[in-house]
Amino acid sequence: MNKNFQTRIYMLLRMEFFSQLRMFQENLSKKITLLLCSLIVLALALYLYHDFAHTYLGPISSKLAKLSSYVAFFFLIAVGTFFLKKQIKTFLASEETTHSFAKTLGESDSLLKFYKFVLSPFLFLISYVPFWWVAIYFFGKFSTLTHIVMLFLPPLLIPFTFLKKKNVAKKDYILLNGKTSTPSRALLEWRYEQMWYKNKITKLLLLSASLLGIASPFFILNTKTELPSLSLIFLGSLSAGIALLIQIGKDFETIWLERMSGVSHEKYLTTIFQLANLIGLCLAFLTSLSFVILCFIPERNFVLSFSLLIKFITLSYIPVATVPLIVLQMDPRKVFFQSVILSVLSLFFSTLLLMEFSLFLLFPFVLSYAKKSQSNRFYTI
Amino acid sequence: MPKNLSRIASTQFKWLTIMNELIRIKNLRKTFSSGFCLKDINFFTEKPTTFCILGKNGAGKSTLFQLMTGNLEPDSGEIRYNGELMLVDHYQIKRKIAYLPQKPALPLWVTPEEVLQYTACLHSLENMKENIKKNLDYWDCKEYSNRSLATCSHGMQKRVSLAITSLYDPEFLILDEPFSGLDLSHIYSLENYIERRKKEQKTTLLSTHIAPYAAKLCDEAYLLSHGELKKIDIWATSSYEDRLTLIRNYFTVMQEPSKIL
Repeated sequence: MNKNFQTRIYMLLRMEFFSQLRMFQENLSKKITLLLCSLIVLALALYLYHDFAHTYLGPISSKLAKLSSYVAFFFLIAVGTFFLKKQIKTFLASEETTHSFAKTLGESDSLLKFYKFVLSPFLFLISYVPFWWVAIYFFGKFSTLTHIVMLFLPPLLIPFTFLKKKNVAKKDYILLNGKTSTPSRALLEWRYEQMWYKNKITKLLLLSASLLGIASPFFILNTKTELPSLSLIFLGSLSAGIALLIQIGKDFETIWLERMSGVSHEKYLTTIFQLANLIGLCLAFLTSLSFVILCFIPERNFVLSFSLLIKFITLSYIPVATVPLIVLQMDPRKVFFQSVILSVLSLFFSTLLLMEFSLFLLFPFVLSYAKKSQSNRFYTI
Repeated sequence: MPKNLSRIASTQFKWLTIMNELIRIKNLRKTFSSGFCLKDINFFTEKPTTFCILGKNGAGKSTLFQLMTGNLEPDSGEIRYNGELMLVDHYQIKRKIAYLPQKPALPLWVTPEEVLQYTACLHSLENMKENIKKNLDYWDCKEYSNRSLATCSHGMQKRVSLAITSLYDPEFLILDEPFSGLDLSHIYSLENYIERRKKEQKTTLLSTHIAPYAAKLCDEAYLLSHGELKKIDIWATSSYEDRLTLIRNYFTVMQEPSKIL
């Protein structure tokens, strides 16, 4: 390594270090508040899930409790991997990073490779390790070797996702289908069609939600208890809610378009309400249909009651219907935090309703409060 | 009685004055926690015009545009369009004003044609298909009109944004650095578009650091410096060359415009 190379790499690393430091200094109080709030919400979500798996599922079946721990473990590992991938992508592709700046200046490939090699452990430590640690601390039911493998294997698979895919020409779906719509209808269709036809992640989440909606009532046949089935339909509705949150996050990256077109706060929020209701009702319909089919299965050893049907409908509707109540309370572009808040709040609402269904009468007050507290946030976020 | 009459007459006169003003900004003030502030901005125009706001980087031009379009609430002061007060939730006024940001972000996985169609639906435009086709043709976007915007370059995306704006041709258009990222042929298209708006008696506000375009296209000019907006009075009567000198001198020696010529 010659002296010139050493000086250049030192300068680049120094620049990166100070830029990160300045980034942290900027709005320090805001960042600390955000970090603390996120940690509290995350801890609450973890505690609730942990409690659910041990206190509620444990006594019913140890297998189910174990399964729920595995699900949580792999979910956290997947979130960590996605987060690390996002960080790497930003680091490599964003025009505002030190790496891109050095590349634009014509810095040599060998130096950039060395620079990436030095920074990778930091990215790994900051972005992936916390998720892995939380996963093994709360839900680690495997051997130490498996834990070590889970620490290194998912990050090692990330480079393969950056490989160029074959450019297969295919006829894409045309949004709004070339027809005239009223502004309200266009607002609704533009989002709904993007979720179904343009964004693979939202499509996958909606498909999973539908599948869970159809399948969840049938789990009663095997488990002889309603809790796993109800948990599955809750999970399905939550997936649909997260899909909606992803779409809203994307909306707000390009929101000048709607603002410039004079879309009002009320109109936008109404669209989100309509979309959430549409998805929630479709899911409730699918679940009810499965439930009705279940009634025709002979020799079942579980009593199917009307109150159970109401529970299914409530759980398939509540998580996705909670989205419009929270989405503009904080920046909608922070989808991960929005998802965690959605999980906690919808769990809270669902538990309340399952305990005492007449609490449904409080819904207009919750709605009115949510609308008031989000008032005009469409313009000011 | 005469006292009352004079009061009524004075109120009516005041109202008529407000009605005649196309845009009026009165004592507008906005302060940020960083210490930056726009101080008592005052501005008015009675007739449709093409004007520019010049200022150094960080002078507060974009903040002023955000305030003018009602996307940011001022600490004090008011903005009126045709006598109507602009507020954050006055979306009916917002429909008449378009603001094209310097880096307009577009939804990446949709096509230019789709995004134009969406805009046309939001504005309930008639003859949607012909209008979209005409605009895509004008801004030379037809070739890639069915490609995802993610695969388009910055200049191509900028042309799509301009096509969106020209699709519904607002009464008041704010263009923030519209020439950046465009190649020469599309710069000419943009110049023609601004000239055409001038002929159609529509107001255009231009923010650019490229002096020749400001000198050529704008009938009025304002300077935004240290949070204050000042009109360059001699701009309207100056020739193209004088305007260029005016800008050059201002930005090199930072002299007051009135002292330059």
